Amino acid sequence: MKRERNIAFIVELLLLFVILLFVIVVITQTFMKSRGQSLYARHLTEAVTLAEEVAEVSASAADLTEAADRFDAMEQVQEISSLSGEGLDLVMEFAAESGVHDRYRVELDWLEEKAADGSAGASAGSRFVTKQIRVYFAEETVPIYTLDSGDFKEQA
Amino acid sequence: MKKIFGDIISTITVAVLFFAILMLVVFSAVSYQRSVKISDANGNTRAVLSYIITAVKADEASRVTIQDTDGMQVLVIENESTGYGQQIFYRDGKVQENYGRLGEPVAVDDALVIGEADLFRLDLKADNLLQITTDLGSSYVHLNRG
Repeated sequence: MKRERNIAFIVELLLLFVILLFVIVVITQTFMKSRGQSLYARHLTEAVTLAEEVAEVSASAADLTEAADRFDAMEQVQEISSLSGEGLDLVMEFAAESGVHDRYRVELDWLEEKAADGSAGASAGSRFVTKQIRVYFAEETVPIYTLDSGDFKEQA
Repeated sequence: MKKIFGDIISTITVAVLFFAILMLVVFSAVSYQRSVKISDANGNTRAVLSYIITAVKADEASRVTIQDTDGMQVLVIENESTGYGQQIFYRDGKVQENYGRLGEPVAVDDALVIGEADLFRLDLKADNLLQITTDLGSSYVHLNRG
């Protein structure tokens, strides 16, 4: 009788241990997912900030060449290269926390409005430039954030 | 002897279970703390910069200038039609703002606090590009007017 009670106790103990392990696994996965979501939120926030800065700097430039010069002077821009002749490819760093620098790749498409006959510039006074800014986190191939922008430039 | 061995096993098992629960609580608390910290950083990091950028871009008709008053940089968003302007400056570790008459000294004692910062600097990178730098980052603002 005593032996049967001991066996029952041990079986119950093992069963509870298995249930505890299951609970630990579920809670651990929940918190890991939560941390992943928080990191994604941080990267998205940083990407939005970078896209806004690129939009502001490009809006202040009269043409793509001037925009490239201004990006080159920015501390966050690590590398800059031409993107198929109608845009720029930037590698930018964002200082997230002390010692942590997130790296982003930013593609800027710069499309100037063409007149009906295909010549550059819609009018003698100004031209409309359409811009699309795509921000990629690290080496990812899908942009984490895309910003469409546009503004009028005074004809040179 | 067998009974003693059984008792030891039971005690160790209970202790291990208790330790596992304790580690689970600690891990959960640390993970939650990290998530909250990231969430707070996302929300507060650029609050001061966002406010200033919004103020600069709010009125297309305003003229934006940087003035040096007694060694203190003041960002002035002028509304020439009213003769008043919004004045943003850094003093005593805080970014502050005041609304006052153009051409008169900044009333620093009447200013409202926008936020705290260890650093606040204004640079005109070009005629139409303003850089605002704080210890939590910097931002660029395109000025539509000079």
